Amino acid sequence: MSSWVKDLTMAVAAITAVAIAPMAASGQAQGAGGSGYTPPRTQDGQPDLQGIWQALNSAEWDIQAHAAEKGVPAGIGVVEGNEIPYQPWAAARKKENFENRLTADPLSKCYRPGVPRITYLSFPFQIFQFPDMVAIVYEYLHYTRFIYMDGKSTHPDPNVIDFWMGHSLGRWEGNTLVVDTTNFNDQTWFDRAGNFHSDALHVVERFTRTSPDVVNYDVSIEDPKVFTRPWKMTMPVYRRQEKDLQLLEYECYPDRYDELEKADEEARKAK
Amino acid sequence: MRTKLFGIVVGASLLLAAVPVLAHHSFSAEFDAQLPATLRGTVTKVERVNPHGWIFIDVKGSDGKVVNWAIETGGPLALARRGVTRDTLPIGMEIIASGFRAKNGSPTINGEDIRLPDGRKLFVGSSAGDTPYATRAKQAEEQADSNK
Amino acid sequence: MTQRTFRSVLAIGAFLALPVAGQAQDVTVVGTIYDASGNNGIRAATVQVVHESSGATARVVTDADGNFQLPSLRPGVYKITAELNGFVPNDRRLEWLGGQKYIVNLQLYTPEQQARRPKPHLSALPANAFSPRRTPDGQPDLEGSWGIARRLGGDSHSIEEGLDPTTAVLKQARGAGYDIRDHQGNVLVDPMRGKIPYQLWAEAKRLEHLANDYAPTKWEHLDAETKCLLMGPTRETMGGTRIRQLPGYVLFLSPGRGTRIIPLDGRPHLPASVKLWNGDSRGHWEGDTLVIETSNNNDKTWFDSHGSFHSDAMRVVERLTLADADTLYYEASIDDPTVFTQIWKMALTWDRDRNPDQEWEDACYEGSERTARNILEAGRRAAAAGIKGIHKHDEFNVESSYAPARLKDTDVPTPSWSEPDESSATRKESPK
Repeated sequence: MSSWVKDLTMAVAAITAVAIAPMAASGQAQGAGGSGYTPPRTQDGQPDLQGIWQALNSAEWDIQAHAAEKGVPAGIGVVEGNEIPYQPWAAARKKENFENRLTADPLSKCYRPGVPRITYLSFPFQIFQFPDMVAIVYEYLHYTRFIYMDGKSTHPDPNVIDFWMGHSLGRWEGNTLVVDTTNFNDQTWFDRAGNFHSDALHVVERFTRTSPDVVNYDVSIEDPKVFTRPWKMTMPVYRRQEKDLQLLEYECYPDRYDELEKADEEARKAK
Repeated sequence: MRTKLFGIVVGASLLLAAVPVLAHHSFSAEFDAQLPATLRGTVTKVERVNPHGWIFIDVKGSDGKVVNWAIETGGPLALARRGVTRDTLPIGMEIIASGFRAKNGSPTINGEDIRLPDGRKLFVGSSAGDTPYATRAKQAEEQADSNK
Repeated sequence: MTQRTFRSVLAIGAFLALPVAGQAQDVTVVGTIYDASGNNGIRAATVQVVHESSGATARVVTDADGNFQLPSLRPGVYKITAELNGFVPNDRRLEWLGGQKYIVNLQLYTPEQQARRPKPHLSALPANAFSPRRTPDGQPDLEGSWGIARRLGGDSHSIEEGLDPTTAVLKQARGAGYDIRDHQGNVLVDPMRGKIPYQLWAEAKRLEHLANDYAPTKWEHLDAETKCLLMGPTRETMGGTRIRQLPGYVLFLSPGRGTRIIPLDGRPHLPASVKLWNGDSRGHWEGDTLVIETSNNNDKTWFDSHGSFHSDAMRVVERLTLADADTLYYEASIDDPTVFTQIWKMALTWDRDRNPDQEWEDACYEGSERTARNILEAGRRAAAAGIKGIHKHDEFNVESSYAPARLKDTDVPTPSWSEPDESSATRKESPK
């Protein structure tokens, strides 16, 4: 076979090897996800997940397998088993959301994307680790997630308050950062295809560094008001390689206000 | 620190320090203190996300038409400290809300009090310094602080 | 406007060369002297005014409710002082224009109450050297939760004048318990407690912003804070922040969206064509001072709600130094030769919060959408009704510093049911 095909074949094999190993090991409490990789430690002795990362798939459009449409690449999906176990009423709602997605998607109004959607939007995010807390800063909307690692903090009472991005508590299981998030409102979607949840949503994310430049991201979704059972998503996120890369800004709102101004003008002319 | 407050168990902290009380906008830019209003209606939605609270009620007008009114309240933490949580205002409950109308003519009021079917009156006003009920808000905060 | 009965007593023999009453250009000044709570008027307090240019004075005494009325005055700049035995005198320097009526309310504090009131900010770093702890990687340790709540000024409403007095002291409904003075505070240190040194054309543009703030008709007239946009490096940080440090980084963390990441590795700034709302920051240490240089700003942010704008040529240098273990001195230099006549500086002091709360999400935009639209529409109505004005801090003026548009016609149906409620009934009487 010609050399470029050989190189390509080897490259594909390498990526596949990395991709398969964590999935085989997912669910195990032991660290390193079966890939045999032990990450270096931060100055406080935690497994080091710091750096600028980004997902590279089309889950932001549709977390299930889908063909392409205008502006939307095709995707093999990130949902385990490719099935989202909606209750019958919710399956109908999802269908309705999908049909209205261009205007009904909360992201089109610049609302916060919720968790885990913010992870797999096509924007980078940067992880910072402190002894008592992990902070994740996202380029999208300049949003910062605070994940409390002190082992004493608790989630606030959901009767009192909810959040677009939930409230997160974290702990280490071996080399895996486990993040438990509750206190969601019911306003966000999982993707642009209309997959949604209620305010009973409970998300558990697992971040495991499986090689210097790849973190395996596993997500468990539980919502007894909407789904018949818990379900999972999984995907790699990749370290951005560019020298001196930094987060820039995607502020969304300024364009939204321009749209509103135009819409107001049209409405005035129509009168 | 764990404290029991109105039957709510709170964790390390109930309060959000970083949200300034007087931020974002002034009462008088949006509402008219000279236009008090009292409404009776049924709850259709409650939003309790920092730093704002909103209660939506369906109100029947004198023409028989139903209009959905928006009631801007204090933030969810301030409300919780006064005993107002999600369970307090279930969808479909009939309430009487009093406050001040928006200057733009929309069906919106800045809410001060809510009267529940069981007769309880709850103060839901914002803690900003320029509302007509600012003294009450300050006293409510001080009361809540001393209850901790 | 509130009807009041004035029973002030004029002190005999206190008048010197006052203007004759009844002239068209006279100034009328009435008011109330309150105690520290802001709820109770103080009787028998002396209120004295001195006309600055002529030295003429007048003195009156408050009635049983703390109310006073000054005799007719000619226009000019005055110093008004409230005094009573056992209290610290409180004074204000005000300009009164002819033909106007002013309501001036002042509070009196006992020396113990005065001692507990907000302190001003430091205008320079204290001379005594303070050696801070070090982080594990050797940086001076500035970590912590820092705020300005116990200091005068620094609020993002106005860096020259502090909080809008109509949001701090009430008119008809009295006694919010705030004293304007608690929130006044010019944080400029060069020019010292002066005005932002705008070029003439730029000062005119700022006045335009203030007029648009009074009765906004476009989304762009609304302040960034109302619209929940990023407010630029100094305004995002000034009110306080949570500082964390890691090897190679200083972070200003915010549960809103103002988080700033400051790399310390000396990498070059972004290409000039990339303009950011919070600019592009680079940090380095000079001794125990963190120096942050920020460029690549866009021209869309203001330093405060008073339309204090800049161009995209602006460069900001911030300096943070610990004055002591619980006090962080912050200084910001603004260099923008296309808009200002000089490099100018503001300085603030942050106090450490020893009991910080958890950082919880601040969903400003999602919660304020409706509010911002209501404010804009109120402004459009005011403008359509020909109401014009300019947002300014007329201390103690009865009218709001925002357009006082009244709802005359409304297309909103009247609710069929309405019941007078005890608490709002009493208030419905008072505003007349």
